[in-house]
Parts: sequence; C-alpha cells; structure tokens
Amino acid sequence: MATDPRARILAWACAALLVACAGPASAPSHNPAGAPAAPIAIAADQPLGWIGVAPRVKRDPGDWVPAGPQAVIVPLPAQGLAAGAALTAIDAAGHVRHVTAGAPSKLPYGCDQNQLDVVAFAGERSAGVVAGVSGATAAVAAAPGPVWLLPPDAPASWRPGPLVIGPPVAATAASRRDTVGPLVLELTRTDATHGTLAIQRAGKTIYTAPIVREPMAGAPDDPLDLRGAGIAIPVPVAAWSFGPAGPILLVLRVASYEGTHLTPLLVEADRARALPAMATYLYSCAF
Amino acid sequence: MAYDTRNGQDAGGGGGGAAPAATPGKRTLTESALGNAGAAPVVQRKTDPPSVEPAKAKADNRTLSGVSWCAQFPTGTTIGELTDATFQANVQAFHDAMVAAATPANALNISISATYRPAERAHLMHYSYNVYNGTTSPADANAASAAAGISINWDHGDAATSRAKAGEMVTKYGIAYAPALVSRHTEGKAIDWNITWSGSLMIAKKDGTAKLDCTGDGTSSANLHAVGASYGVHKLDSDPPHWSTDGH
Repeated sequence: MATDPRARILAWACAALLVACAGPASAPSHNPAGAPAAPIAIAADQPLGWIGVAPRVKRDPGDWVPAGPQAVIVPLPAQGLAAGAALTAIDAAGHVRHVTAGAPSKLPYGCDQNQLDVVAFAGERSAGVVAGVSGATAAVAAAPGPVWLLPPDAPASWRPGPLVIGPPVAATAASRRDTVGPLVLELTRTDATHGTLAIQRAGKTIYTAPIVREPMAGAPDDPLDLRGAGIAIPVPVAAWSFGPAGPILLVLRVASYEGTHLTPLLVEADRARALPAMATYLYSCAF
Repeated sequence: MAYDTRNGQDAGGGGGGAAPAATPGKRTLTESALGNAGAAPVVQRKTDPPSVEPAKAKADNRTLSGVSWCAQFPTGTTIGELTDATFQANVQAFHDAMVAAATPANALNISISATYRPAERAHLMHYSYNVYNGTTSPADANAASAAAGISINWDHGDAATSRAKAGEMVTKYGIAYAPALVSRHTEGKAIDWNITWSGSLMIAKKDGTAKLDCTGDGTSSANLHAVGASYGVHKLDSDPPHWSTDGH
C-alpha cells in the first residue's frame, strides 16, 4: 500500500476511473475480492484537515473566488495550521498537489481595499496532476475554488476522490434538487425568507438544516429564489469521498450579504453532520 | 479628467445644476402667479427677441464613468468616522470595554474593515453594478445620478463601452453582490470588524451589572454578542464581522 498521500489518492482515482469505464461488474483494484467495500469510519473528534481555496490567476468580476499567486489559501483562523506544514491538497476536480503553508499573510479581496487574513500555501499553482484512465498522469490546469487540505496524519485507508456535482434539476423559485455523487440535495422554500435543505441518500433523508435569510437594511425583500445562488441559499461546490464506500466530505457555498461561507458536512451512510471547525468565511464587502 | 461634450440631452443630464436655457415666449413665474392679483399687477412679459440666435448647447461637465471614480468617497475604517453620534459613542464604549478586559496574554485583536460608507460611494457601486449587469440603462443611471447630485455620465456613446466602463468600476470596487443604495453602513450605524483573542475575557456590560465570560471570537461568542447588545451594538448572525444599531 502506498504511504505517500498523493500516491494513494492517485491510485484510488485511477481505480475509480477504471471502474467507471469498465461498468458495474468491475471492482476497484484495491478490493479484488469483489466484496462490498466498507465505509471508512470517522471518529467524532477526528481531524479531517482544512477547507481552502485555490485562487484564480486573475479576478473575475462578480465571482467569489479570490485572485492571487498562491497555490491555496485558508482564511484565518485556520486553527491548527502551522507555517511550514506540508500538506496534500485535492481540488473539486480531483487535481492533487503538494503544498506548503507559509506564515499568515494578507490577500486583497473584495471592496474598499479589504484584505483577507489567510494562511497562504506555496506549491504547484497552475498545474497539478490528475489520474488518467490509463493510470498515466498529465499536467492540467488547477481548478480555482474549494480545496481539501488533508491532515498531515491522514490515515492510510483514506482514498479521497472527487464526486461529480450535477447541474440543478427540477429547479423552481420554491424548490430545487442538486445531485452530488450518490446524494440528492433537496431545497424547499417554506416562506419568503426560510426554507429547508434535505440531504437524501438511497431515497432516505439523512440530514436536514434550515435555510434562513436574515433581514438586512437596504436589501431586496424578494422571496428566496432557489434557482440561483442568492443570499442564504446553499449550493454544492465540492465533494470528495474518503473511499469507494464513503463517507463523503461535502462543501456547500452559502452567500451572505457581505461575503461567502464555505460550509463542510461529513455525510455518512445514514447521517450527516456539520463540521464547524472546517468551515470558513471570506469577507468581501460592507453591505 | 475626461468630459463628454457629445450629450447633455440625456434625461437628467442637467450638467450639475446648470440653469436651463430660456425658451422664447415662455411666461415667467411672476406673470403666472400674479397675473390675476388685481390692480396694477407687476407683470413682466417676455417677448420673442427680434432675431433668434441658436441656443447654445449646455456645457456638460459630467465625468464619464470609469475607475477614476472609485477612489472618491472612501468608506471609513475608524470608529470616529461613524456618522451616527450615538452609535459611534456606543461602539467606542464597547471597544473600550473589550480592551479594558484584556491582558497581553489574551492577544486581543480588533481589526476594522468598514464603518461609514458615504451615500455617493454606495450610489456609484450600485449603479456600476447595475449598468454592468444590464439591469439599469446608462440613461436611467444618468437620471438617478443627476438626482443624487453626482456628476457622472454612464453613457459612453455605445452600449458595449458603457457596460465595459461600468464593469471596470465593478472590478475596481471589488463588488461581488448587488450593493445597496441605503444600508446601515450608509447611515453610519454599522461596523464590520474582526475581533479575536485567546482564552477568556471578562467584559463588563454597559450598565455595569455584570461581566460576561467571553470565549471564542467575535463571530462565535454569544456572550460577546450579549455584551455588545448592552451597548446598543448588535450582531448580525449571518455575517461574521457585521454589527449595527439593530443587527441589520
């Protein structure tokens, strides 16, 4: 078994892609007996790493992803991240990189000369490696957006791989459905400023959370419109499975009046829970 | 400084309050108001001049939209710039209570991002965003700006350039979401600040009846939120740095 985190991730990604191409009768290479893979157990207090952001090269007006030369940034407080930490980062598309944490620094972001306090990571910035179907690797452009930074002591059993986020289906102003790998995210508006997020797996609801758009002076008071990514509406932006049978680390982006929340959830077979220690917020602009 | 001498006919393009050109034969307000007032009214009647000269085009001193506007009307980043005197005093007292409770070991850090946003800045941010996104036409934006007393011309003569220039302002401002014209920040009644510390802070409420044990940070500490409320500085839950007179 490979011990290098990136090698393990690549091996898993290769296996997953091979399985996907070979059809349902095939089994992942690391499960040669064909027995159903068991989900990886995650303890309640187990460190799962950090959620960071791979910046864009150039700012895109209207987009929440910051721009900068860093490989990855993690907004403070970034608890437990020490300068010099060498970590493995995997982006939403599955690109894997080795990155190294620097000292806390400032990143221009948002309006009024605002600067985010971040831990900036150096490393492979504009190119990573992704597994090909043949198992070969190729340089590809890194995907700006959410990144999972694995903890330095990630168990060898983890085989992180990205899950496909489908386009919203059945989207109306009052309801919406997103698919993330085996998960279905149902959003339902209950009144003008409230709604519910329900996560379903195999037809069973395993998690619900309220959607609340708080009042803000000067803000439009139109009812929540679930077709878009408006204030308080959760939108899946990244998801990774810890292994072939899960669990899943799901990241929701929730816009607020002055910035962007990245809200991670750990989704297991029959339940899910928020991971507040991994949550992050990017302040953008006074409203 | 760039000037557009092409227009001046836009709705609301009043050229910064320039007097309207006289219209031949038009009655003055004096005549209209006093014409039936009784004997010997003092009425002045304008008559058409014997030879009519072409009316001169109004000088258009408006400045075209673009990034040069973005440095104007900066948002405040100090408590002293809060324009609501009561809120300013309350924020200062709350700030001082936090500082008084901290020791060097607490490493209290208070970092202010924004306090008062001038209405002009809010206006420019709002309309640059709207013109860029096509929800307001340059002509309508011109009308709104003239009404607000801001001498900007959003119309560059063609739609693509007008939108591009507005987009440059959106980028320069760093706008991600539609900016409000009026908010607690434009009223001088809101502050965005990050408050962090280590360990525990025993912070006095305004009335002195209690000190609350505050742990965590400005986002998560319910006790800090309660202390702030006692000073009239209320936390908005959805946005970590935002505090205001009413939490909105």
